[in-house]
Amino acid sequence: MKSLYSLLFFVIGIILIGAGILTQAVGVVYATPPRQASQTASVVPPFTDNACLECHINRETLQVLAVEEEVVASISEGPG
Amino acid sequence: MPPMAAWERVWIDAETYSQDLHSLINCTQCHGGQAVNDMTLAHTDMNERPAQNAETCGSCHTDVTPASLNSLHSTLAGYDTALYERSVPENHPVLEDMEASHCNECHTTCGDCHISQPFSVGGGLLDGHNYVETPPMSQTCTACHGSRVKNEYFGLNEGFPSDVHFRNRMSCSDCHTADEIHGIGITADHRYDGVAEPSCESCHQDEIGVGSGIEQHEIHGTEILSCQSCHSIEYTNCTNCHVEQTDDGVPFFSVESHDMGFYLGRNDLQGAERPYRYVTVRHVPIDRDSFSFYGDNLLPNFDNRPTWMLATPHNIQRNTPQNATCDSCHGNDALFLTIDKVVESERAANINIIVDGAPLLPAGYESATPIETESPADTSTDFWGEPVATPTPTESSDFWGEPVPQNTPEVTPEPTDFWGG
Repeated sequence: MKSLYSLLFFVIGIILIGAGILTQAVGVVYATPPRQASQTASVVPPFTDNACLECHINRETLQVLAVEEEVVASISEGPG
Repeated sequence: MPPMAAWERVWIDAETYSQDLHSLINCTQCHGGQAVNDMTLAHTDMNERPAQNAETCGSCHTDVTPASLNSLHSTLAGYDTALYERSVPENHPVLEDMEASHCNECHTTCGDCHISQPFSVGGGLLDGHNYVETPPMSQTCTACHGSRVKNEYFGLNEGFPSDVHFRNRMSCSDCHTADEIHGIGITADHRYDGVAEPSCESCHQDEIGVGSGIEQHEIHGTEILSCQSCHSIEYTNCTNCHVEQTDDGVPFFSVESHDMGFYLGRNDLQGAERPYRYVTVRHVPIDRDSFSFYGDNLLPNFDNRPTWMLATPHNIQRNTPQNATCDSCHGNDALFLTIDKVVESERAANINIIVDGAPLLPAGYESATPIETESPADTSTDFWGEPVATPTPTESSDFWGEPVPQNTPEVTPEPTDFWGG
């Protein structure tokens, strides 16, 4: 009886291993294909534009340098 | 839209922007200019709105950019449709010049909603140059759609309440999906071209039409009236807008008059997507001479398009004056765009919109009688006055008081474009 169980487990094991190999061989078929990454593979050059940031992250500098635009009163009349 | 200080408009929040994937990209790659410490030189040939170039966003965001280039936000095709339909090809170049001065500034780029406030309303970074996935309503959507939608939705028209959805803290993007706003899957000639999105049914599917258990919805079904016909209130109508330029070349416009009003007209866009017989119609500000500053008789086919057009007011209420009782609407010509409300010079253009009069209450119903959902006593006709099983040879009238030939099933009109073409 014991040898019968051993044989049964051996056969089940073989079947499972076989199924696993088969799955690897044919690949997994998705119901819906995985979403394509929107980003195209591209090489982003290293960031070197620190001169821009030095000003644009600095509130105090911007408050001195940024010029308030003259607000021109619209002469349009009525809802736009 | 709250005003922004000059510095605030261009300030990059280093702490948060450093976490944004876009911060890996050199500034000059999108904006041009030069990364040098000389302010003038740095900004020479700099592009304030790099998203105007489709490649800027499109080189990475290939899933959305190509479609958005065809969206009405990008093409402004609605303007072209409205103008060219009323004009002739030889006038198009002049009209394009006019549009360049008065319309094209409203072109919206990706950056105009996701990075900054729209350029047409002054720009300014939304959140320290961070990418904002869902643009804030008041700084982007209603910054442009301000004169009608904003005032209606926020309840800024004096004496009129805000939209019920606004009172329930819903923003534009709760109804208007990203796909719709980006124009994914459609190439539209105007706002009401194609699929009716967003639709009330998307959220209220169990409350609409027969089977809803709502008395007035049971009675009217889904093909007689648009939802707005019963659930919107007075909205802005504009008349006779004219565009000009100052001696210095500054473009401006003037609207002769505008007022609040509510009008039900015939649905000129009747089809599978918008089956309604009656819809809310709004007077658009066009006039035969709207563009006369740029040339004479630029709209020789003015009557090709209505001046009262399908509108979807953003001031929805559960209870409105017209849905209070049956005779609030039935027999009440004041709610309908009857010929006396259309100026004589525009009657030809609106021939398919003008209503003969308000439909009368059907037989068996009296003024102020509560609506019953049970079948009327006369079982030879349905609620609409149309024959059911055994048609009789005599003419009858439908619910709206219009003659319906017996033995002839009501024909669903062929889908037409908004202009009946």
